[in-house]
Order: sequence, then C-alpha cells, then structure tokens
Amino acid sequence: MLELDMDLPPGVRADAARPLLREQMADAGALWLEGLREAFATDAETGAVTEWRDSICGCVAHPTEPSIGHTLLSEADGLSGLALRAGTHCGLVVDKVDPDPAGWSMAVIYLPPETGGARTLLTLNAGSGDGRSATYLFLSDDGDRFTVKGTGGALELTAPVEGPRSRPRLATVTQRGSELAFQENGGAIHSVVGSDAAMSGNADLFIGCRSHRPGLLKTLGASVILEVLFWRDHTLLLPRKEADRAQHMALRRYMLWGH
Amino acid sequence: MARKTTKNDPAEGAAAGHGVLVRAANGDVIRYDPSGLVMRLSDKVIDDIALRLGTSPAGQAQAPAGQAPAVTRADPHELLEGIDAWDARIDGDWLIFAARLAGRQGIRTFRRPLSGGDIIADAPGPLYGVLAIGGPRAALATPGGSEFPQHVLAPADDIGAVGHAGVERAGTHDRLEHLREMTHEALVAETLLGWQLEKFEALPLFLTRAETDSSATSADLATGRAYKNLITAAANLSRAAAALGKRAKILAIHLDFALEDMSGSAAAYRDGILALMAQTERDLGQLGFDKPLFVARFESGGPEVATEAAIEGQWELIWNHADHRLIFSAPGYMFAQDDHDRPTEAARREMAEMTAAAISAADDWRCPTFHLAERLSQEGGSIIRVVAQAAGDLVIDKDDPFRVGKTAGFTLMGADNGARVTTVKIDPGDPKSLLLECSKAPEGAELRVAYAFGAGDRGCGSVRDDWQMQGATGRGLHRWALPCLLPVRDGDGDA
Repeated sequence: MLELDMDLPPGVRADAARPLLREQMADAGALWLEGLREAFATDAETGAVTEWRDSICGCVAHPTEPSIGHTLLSEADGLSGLALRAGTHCGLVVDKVDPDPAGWSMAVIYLPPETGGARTLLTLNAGSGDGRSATYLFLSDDGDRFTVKGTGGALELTAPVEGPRSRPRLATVTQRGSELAFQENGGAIHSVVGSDAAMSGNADLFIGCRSHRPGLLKTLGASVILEVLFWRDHTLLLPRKEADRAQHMALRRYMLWGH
Repeated sequence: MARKTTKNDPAEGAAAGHGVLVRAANGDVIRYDPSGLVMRLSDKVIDDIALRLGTSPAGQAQAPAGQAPAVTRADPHELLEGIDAWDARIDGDWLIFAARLAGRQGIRTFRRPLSGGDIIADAPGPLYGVLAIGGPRAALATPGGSEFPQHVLAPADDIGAVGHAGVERAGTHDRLEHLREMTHEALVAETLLGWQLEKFEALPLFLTRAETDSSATSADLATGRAYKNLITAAANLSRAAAALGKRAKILAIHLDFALEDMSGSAAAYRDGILALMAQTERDLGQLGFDKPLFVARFESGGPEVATEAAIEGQWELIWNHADHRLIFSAPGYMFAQDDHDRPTEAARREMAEMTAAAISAADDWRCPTFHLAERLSQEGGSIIRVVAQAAGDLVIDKDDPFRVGKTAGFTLMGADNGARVTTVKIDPGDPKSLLLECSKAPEGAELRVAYAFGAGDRGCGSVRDDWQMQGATGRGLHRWALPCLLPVRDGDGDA
C-alpha cells in the first residue's frame, strides 16, 4: 500500500461519502439524522434513546408520547440506528420541520427485518400541534410492497420492493403539490397525481410511527432505521431546478459509496 | 509529497479481495475489490467519458435519446416469417415485436431470443415461479397448451411443466418455452392471468414446474431426486429472470404429498413435511429468494384411500407448521373424480381456482378447521359440540352437493353402544361451532368424531364458511371445512 503524507479533499477520498453529503445538504438547509453513535443520546440507566441529534440544522428527534423507553439503539457492523420492534411504539419525532407546501422530500435508509415488513418508516404529520388527529402522509414497507399514502387527500402510491433484505434500503419520497413520487435505492421513480395532501408548514416528522397515538400497533414493524433525511423545500424526485437534481445526485452517490 | 510503501497487513482487510492501494493522511484514495479498482473520478473525467461515449455531460437531466440501449430496425418479414408481426426491433440478444398471436392475451408486444426459441410475452413485473413437489399424482397433466401460451412457461429443457418425474437430474437453463400439457401449477398460473385480464391489470410471466418422484415417506421426499430437481427449477427461474432483466419471485410452492406417505404415522408424516419446508427455505434463501409460501390441498377419502394417519398428519400440519408459511387451499372431497379416482377435467380447473384464490389471500387464507369436540352435559350427554377455527361464520350447505345427508359428514368412531350422529346444526350461541345430536349418549373409551372421513366411500361433508367465488366451469366454489378426527372430551358442563 502506498501511503501519502498529505491531506486530500473529500471528493478524492473513497471513504468520505458522509462529509460530502453533509456539505451538500448544508447548502440546501436540509435535516439529517445520521447513523453515527455520537448522534444519539441515551438514558444512562436503561440505554433507551432519548435524543437523535441532526448534524446540520441542530434539530433534535425525541421519543413520541407513547414511546416511553421503548427506543433502543442498534449497533452492528459499524452502523448505529434505531432498533424498532414489531407492534411496539418505538418512534421518535422531530417537531416543526416546516415543509414548503409547494414541495418537499424525505428519505430513510434502513435495514429491513429478515421476515415480514418494516411497516411504517416515516410520516409527515400536519397535526394541530398534538399530532393526534390530523392529515398525515406516511411511507411504509410491508415486505413485498412500499406504500406512500396521504390521509388528507386522494394521494396514494404503491411500488414493489425490489432490493434484497440483506442490504440497507434507501427509500425516497417527494411531494410536489398534487404529485407524489417514490424511489427505492436508485431504481425506477414511481409517481402518481392525486389531490393535494395539504401539508401545511406546521408539520412534524415521525420516525418509525405515524403519530403520538399509542394505537395502530399493526402499522409498527421491525427494522433498524439507520439514517433519516428531510428537505423542506427540495423536490428530489420531481425536480424543478438544478439544486433539486444536485441533492438527488448527492443522495444517490452517498448510498453508493457510504452503504 | 512524502510517501512510503508498506506491505498490506492481511488482518487489516475487512473482506477477502478488498483493500486499500493508496491512502492519504486523512483517508483512503484508491481501494480495490474483486471486480477492480475503487476510486472517485473528478467531474472533468466524467464529462470526458460522457463525451467520448457520445452522451451528454454528467450532472444534466437524464434520458437524452442517445442513452437508450441500441435499437436496430429489423425487417419483421425476414425474421418473423408466417407471423402477423410489426414494429420489430433488436435489443441485445432479443428480437422484440408487436404481434397478433394465438391466446387470450390479445395483441401485444412479444420477444424471442435472436438465437431462436419460443416466443414469449414482453411482460411487466417479475418472472413468477409456481413450483410443486410431490408424488406421481402431482405429475397429472392435461395434454394441450395454455390459454396464455406466451405467458405460462417452463424452463426450456423440452420437458414441459411436468418435471423429470424423479427419473433424471434436471439441467441448467436460462431460456423459457411453451407448455404442451397443463399441470395443476400451469392451471393456477392460467387462472391468475385470467383474473388479471378481466381486471385490465398487468399480465406477468410465469414459470411452472412440478417435480415428483416415488418417495415412500415425506422424509424420503425431502432428500430425493424430486427435491434436488425442485431446487434446480428455482435456480433456472433465477437464470431465466436474469436473462430477461427481470427479478425472480416464487409465488408459491405446491406441496402435493399426503396419501402417498407410507410411514403409517401422523407424526412422522408431519415431521417429514416440516423438514422439507425448512430445507426448501434454506436452499431457496441461498439462491436469493424470500421465504416461500407453501400451499397444499387437504387430501381426503374413504378408509380405503386415506388412512387415519394421513388425515391426522395433515390436520397436525395445520396447527403445527412452525414458522413456515403453509396454507391449505381446500379439502380434496370438494373435487369430482372419475371412475379411476382421478379428478375430472372440470375438477382440476376448480382445484387450480382454489389454489389461486388461496395464494392470492396468502397468509390470510383459512378453510374452516375443527379443533375441539366436547360432550355436553345437557340432554343426557347425547349432544357433542364441535368447535372450528374459521375465517367466516360456518354454514351447513342446504344443497348438500356431496350428498351426506343430515349428518353433514360427521360420524362417530369407537362408540361401543352403537350411538350415531343423527342431526347436525350450527350452535345458536356461536356461529363457529356445531352441535351434533346423537341417537343416544355415545359411550366408548376411544370415542372420536370424524368429519369427511369414514362416511361413505369418499369421505365428504357439507360444512363450509361464507366465502364464495364463481368458478370458470360455472359452479359456485366454496371454502369447505377440512377433514378431521378428534377425540371427544367431556365438556365443562356450563352449557
């Protein structure tokens, strides 16, 4: 092996996927909960996750009301993430992520369970503050099929799961007005046109659940959530401007080099 | 720029064949993996590569026309003589064309290997496998091709949907061919396609294959030639899908082995099938398939055909199939037989419809299954309550299509005092329980209740749930209760 006694910029390095994406996402004012041990704060006694801190905008994900000490940290193969258990409310929420009603995107990288579905992965819930009774839009993986559905309008999309269970999966969702688009890893972009799901700026981003409601247990599957990404005003899969394409390219390249 | 050269420490490499060639002070620059060098190229180099490949510079919107795979106009009359085809083009190893061909699928796009072979549909979605393993009866097939000749296919080994019958070892193939005879699995695929066609939904491609041998027990089946050929069929499914640029998916594996088992033991039969399912999941997992759905028909018959061990062994599997995905599509008694105890043409179509319905519902499919028989203390002990697990409320079919009469297919076995079932009705307090009225209070140390077993020469019943479907033959299909053989317990006296 040839060792060079000099520092090189991240773009040259084969192991710099993370700093590169962080730099790109900072330009877009996006939110990124990274699968790094130091991004998590845990309860000293129980080990339960108490916070997942974003590395760009300083936002924090905290456990939902029913998730009382349920959220555990998974650490395997150098990856840290949220270990979700089927039928148990283990979710976190980032309050007030402020999506632009004209268009926003969210993405999640996760390890699916060996059998069954990961179920609810992400939900953007435009609740009236308490996140209980409101319009929301969720992304779910039932093992064979992805579902992206807005409860407020006629906006629903399903797509077959293509990737193997053994590798981390990237699922990306973009809403642009009445259009909804979805992509698994770098596969085909599925899209539908429906009625506007009316996501106001007053929405919370739920991770691994749909709301603060303790019920809906069958919507809760087992998986390890490794990374959560949110762009409040970039439409990665339905691009309008160069910046949207650049963010999408950066995400795709991160998945290629980082996972 | 200082530099030094060190020998790679083998312990440093995470995986064999992976490592670092050039490392800067703050990170890796050039790595390698078994396929080649791993490094990041600058925008300038990517632009240069794009220019020299004749495509647009990187970073711009995708899908300029030049990026599509090379497509050559071909003369359809030269390549497709005798076929009403148009819009033919060559894409890689394939000739792709629109045509009007025989079959219910109508006018659509088809494809054929340039090197020759059968025409198959240019279909959306994965390549679905409907596979089967069983004894010689599972190889039963109707001569003739499918109503969807270019959609229902088999590996191109010139053997068709009926596999190698345990006679020889299956070979490796990545091509598909039409069927010349229709097995149960081929009829299932055809049924599913028919339903899709009616709904104007996608018509995917199916590969069907039934592998059989003459194993005497379920344990032998798990280690026999049929099993090895089944795994080869799954591998061929993967190969054929890859050649089409598709994903391979196993829709279901039909387990057609019950009356064949000669072990004489319900537990041995059950354990053999459990071992077969575990081994199949493991071997298919290594080929990259998800855990498959197993589907079986509950084989029944009179005492000359079905043994007590066969009934009890299958019944055991309903309750105890570990974490394997196993469903029973229907009881065998609902299907008409000819004079040689073989299912009639119409019955084979109905079998396929029941299997297709069960596969479509997957883990939610359940035929009514009796699991408890208890003698009630009222009426002098002459009433037996039989409790079922069912997806819907129980129905005693008034039309009585299998002519079992007032007993609905229930009989008492081991009643020393000659008591017999006289009337059967639904328990007014529980729509999933039945009340069996007997001629007198039955007595006997080995007293058992049998359903669809031992009654008449075929073993039938008239209990079902409220699910129904119109079959292609015109007959209404129902989800009939599965046979059972239950010991009678004394009720708790609360009735």
